[in-house]
Amino acid sequence: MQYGMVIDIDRCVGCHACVIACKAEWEVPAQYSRDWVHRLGPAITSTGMAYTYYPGLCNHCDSPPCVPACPAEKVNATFKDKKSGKTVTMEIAATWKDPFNGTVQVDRERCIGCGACRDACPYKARYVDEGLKDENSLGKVDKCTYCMPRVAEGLEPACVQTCLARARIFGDLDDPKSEVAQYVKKGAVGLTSKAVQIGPNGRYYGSKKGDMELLMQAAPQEMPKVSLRRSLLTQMSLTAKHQIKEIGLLGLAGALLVKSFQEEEEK
Amino acid sequence: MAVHSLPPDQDDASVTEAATLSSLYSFLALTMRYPDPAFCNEPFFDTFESLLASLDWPSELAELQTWRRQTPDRLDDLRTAYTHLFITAAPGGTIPPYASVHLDGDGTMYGRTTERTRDFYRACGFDLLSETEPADHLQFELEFLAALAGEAKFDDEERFLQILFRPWFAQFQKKSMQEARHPFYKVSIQLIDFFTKEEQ
Repeated sequence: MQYGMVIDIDRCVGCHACVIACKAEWEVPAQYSRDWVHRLGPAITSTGMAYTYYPGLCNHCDSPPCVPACPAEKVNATFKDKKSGKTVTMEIAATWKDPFNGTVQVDRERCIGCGACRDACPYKARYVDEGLKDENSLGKVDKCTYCMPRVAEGLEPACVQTCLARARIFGDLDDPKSEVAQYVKKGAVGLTSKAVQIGPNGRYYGSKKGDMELLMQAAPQEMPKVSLRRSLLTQMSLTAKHQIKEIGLLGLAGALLVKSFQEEEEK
Repeated sequence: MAVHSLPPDQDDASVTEAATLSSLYSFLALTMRYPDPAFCNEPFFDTFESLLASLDWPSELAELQTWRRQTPDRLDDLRTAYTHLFITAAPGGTIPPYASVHLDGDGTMYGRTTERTRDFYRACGFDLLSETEPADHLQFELEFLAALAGEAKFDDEERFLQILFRPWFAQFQKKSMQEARHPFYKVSIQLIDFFTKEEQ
């Protein structure tokens, strides 16, 4: 099973109800968003003037670069498939791809708020809520979960339920009978580019060539460069960081250099 | 000068990254300083072990632990190793920790690179507190990197690494890996290499 979402841009009217519904459902702070609607155009395309919307959210990708970027300590987690009862135990950091439903999830309890996963996402689908920082973290990362708690109760994701135009369709891409799979058959595609091919499971359908051209121009054109050093620094245990800081506080480290007089004189 | 102030507009993640990196460079600078009881003590070695453990360097950690276990007078042992490795080994066996020796062609200290290095410090608003060693000594260069990281001057840091640090340190490190038998210095130099080459 691979959950996915199709967005029919022929139907989207750019009302932002999906964004509001998501914020209300998950109490997303005003300055952040788990999903978005960008206006594209009007602009000249190969078929003339075009104008459309780009409703975006986490693509729960097949090869999500956010997952290996997470430096949080790994733990063993067991996942269970509701249908078959089969279980899988695997090591996960604070973000992972569910082996049964294909969604990418976050454990906010264990998130250290370093922002590595946010920086790794070419779609910019994650944010770090710095207001939630605590003793062990710089904040907590958040993103679309495809509303898994709602789905578990038999509901649709909040953005899907609220969309009056029925532009958002949610379902199992692996089930050929599902509406999302039918859309893919009809031509719904992920927002990819030459450099960004990570198997997005958010798919877009539009019958107008000009609209799709605009949309594909909105696809990320390069994979973000994740700072290896940042990842190493976040990987360092808090104990090691505190100890190193304390050594520095002895006043020995850094005692060989001074702010130069040259600079003082300039001031 | 040990405390480096940060610009107020840095976000929390960069502030933490800058502070950690600065502390790390400072720590590495200490490893390249002549061993002194003021810092060369058990908390210092504990910190070294924690760092290796958290970076998941098990073999280097084991080497350091074995050395600690088997060496009752660690300060004296390190002083002997430092002197031998950086100052008095037989010709060809010494690896002077000065950039000019490796870069300026004639193998002598206080060369053109020493001046270029000091000019770089000054251009960034720093200078040496004492003249006991040339400006291009490895410990000063690491302290300078700590100062830059502490002020989140990442562009200057990267420029210094590219222009003045890596060109000689790469040679120094290569020779060290052949000559450095002492686990403390071998691992310290590996750590310096590790943390200075990442953003190249």
